[in-house]
Amino acid sequence: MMFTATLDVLFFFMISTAVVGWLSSKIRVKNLVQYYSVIGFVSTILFFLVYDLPLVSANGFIIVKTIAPTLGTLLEVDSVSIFMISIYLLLGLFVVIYSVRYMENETGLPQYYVLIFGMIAGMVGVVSAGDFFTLFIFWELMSITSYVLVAFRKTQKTAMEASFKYLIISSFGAGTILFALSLLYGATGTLNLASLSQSLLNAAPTPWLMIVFAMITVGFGIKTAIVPLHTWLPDAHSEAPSSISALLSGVLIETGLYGFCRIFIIMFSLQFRWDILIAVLAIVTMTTGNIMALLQKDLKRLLAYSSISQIGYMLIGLAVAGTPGSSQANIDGLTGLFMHVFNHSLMKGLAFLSAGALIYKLGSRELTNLKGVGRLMPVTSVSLSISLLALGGVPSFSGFISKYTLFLSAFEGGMPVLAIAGILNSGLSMAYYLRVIQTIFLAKPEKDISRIKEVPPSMLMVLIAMAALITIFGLWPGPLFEFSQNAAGSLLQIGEYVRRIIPL
Amino acid sequence: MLGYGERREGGRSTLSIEFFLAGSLALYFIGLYCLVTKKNLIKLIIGIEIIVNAADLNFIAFAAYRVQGFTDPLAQSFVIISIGVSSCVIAVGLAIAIYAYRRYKTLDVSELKELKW
Repeated sequence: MMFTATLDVLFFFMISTAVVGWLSSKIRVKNLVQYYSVIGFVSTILFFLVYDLPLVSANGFIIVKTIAPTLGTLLEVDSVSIFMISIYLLLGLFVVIYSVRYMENETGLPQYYVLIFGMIAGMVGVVSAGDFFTLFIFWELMSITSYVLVAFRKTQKTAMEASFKYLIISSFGAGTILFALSLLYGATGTLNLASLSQSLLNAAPTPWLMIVFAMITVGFGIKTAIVPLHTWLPDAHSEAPSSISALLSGVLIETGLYGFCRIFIIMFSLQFRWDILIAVLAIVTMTTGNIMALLQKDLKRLLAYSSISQIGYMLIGLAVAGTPGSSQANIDGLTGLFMHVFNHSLMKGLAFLSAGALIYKLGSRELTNLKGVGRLMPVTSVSLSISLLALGGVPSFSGFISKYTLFLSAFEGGMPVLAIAGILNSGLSMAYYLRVIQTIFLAKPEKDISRIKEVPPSMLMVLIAMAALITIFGLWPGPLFEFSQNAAGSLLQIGEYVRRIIPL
Repeated sequence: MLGYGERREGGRSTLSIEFFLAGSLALYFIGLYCLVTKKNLIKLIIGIEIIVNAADLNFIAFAAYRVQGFTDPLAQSFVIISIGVSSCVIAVGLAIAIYAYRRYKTLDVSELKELKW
């Protein structure tokens, strides 16, 4: 055992998938590596449920010292980490099952699965990290694997362009985070989150601390695709294979958001009024995302811009979580944020996977070529519609509940402007979601597509399962609400967090 | 703190920490300038490397200077790992640059413009 059980199993499968891939090319068994990685994800989930989850629900946390105890590097898994890890593993499982048929005609499948395992392991590591040393290494593991996955279809010109753009912008962000960490280290002599919280939470905001704050905002903001820093996202999300787009949009950008929540609340919550900065960014982000999405003709680019606007809604929760005064509003804001992160991973995951299924059959991403496909591929089209309606916030789907929680918390936290902007933007976003649904179901096809058939059953199974989950969480949100509230409460207990780690 | 150019016991020459801080900030902005103005794919990757090295230099300087006569192993091990990680980024970046060169027949980043907003 080096790390937590979940991470250990993910690393085991990351390494062994490569070996199995090599073996399957030797003994010529078709699809061996696909099934092996499905087994890998199922067993990771089992290990997570059997080892990590009971420990956290019994003690409230797990602490694993990683490299050397004296250096203060450790993994700290608490309710927030558990919440994020369960999202990663759930969406990862869906994507891997979907990829069995979706990717079967591609070359380099062993590499594809190794990279997926690496990316998920990186994200799990980022949310379990208890210090910046560990966080940065897992952050880079997540980033590097995602660069390669975006460039996975290496014969496509545009994939190279998107991936290179993503690599340059995102590694600039990582370099900026690293520089901020070096300044933090110089100011306090430690990289441990709890020690940093102890020495910074009540410190006066010096100019150096302002620089650190700005650099951390830029660095994490690039990964989260907050608007002035979002330019890599539409390209990378639309040029990656659809299964990867689902992972990037559903969970990778939310990992950046997790970084914001953790770091701002633990380190900066008493020094700056960062809630106002985040509130402004939230409005700018959702408005720009929606307006740009309205102008798109390409289905995947439309979904990518819609991700940006969804990040804007989530930032409402973060802004409310930072308002001083009302602790109930803080908890409600974070609850809304976590619920929306969970729901968004399912909604946007489903949207990208079903859009991928349409593109897989039609060979085109242009909306004009998707006209009338709803009658030929009913299940896929209905699940795409469910995901789009949920993203738009139609009641009885899960997106409604989380948006409602977010907007309500904005009123409660004394930021009604945010709630109004969010409601207006939800209305605006329905314009392009309904346009897609109308194109798919009602428009007359321009050329003969009558030979198009429904996608294979294993892909359909994933789509139906995700659509069912979205509807279930929309009609019966209680358990998810409690799960998110639990995570939000534990994130806001800074004193408890520090007390847990410092005596070690 | 010893004066400029004097020697501490152990034979290390001592500049004050501000020199390193100024140097690393300058390096950071050189890297940023390189990312903003250069058109060549390889030069952009060099810009990333310069930024990471600026941060590494900062870590090393702070590790040696924070406490007199004690070098913090945490920062040094972080720098070693950071060098490894950044070389991975560079390797991936160069690989993608090679593929981009094969597809577009140019290293000029302003020619990579098939994707627009």
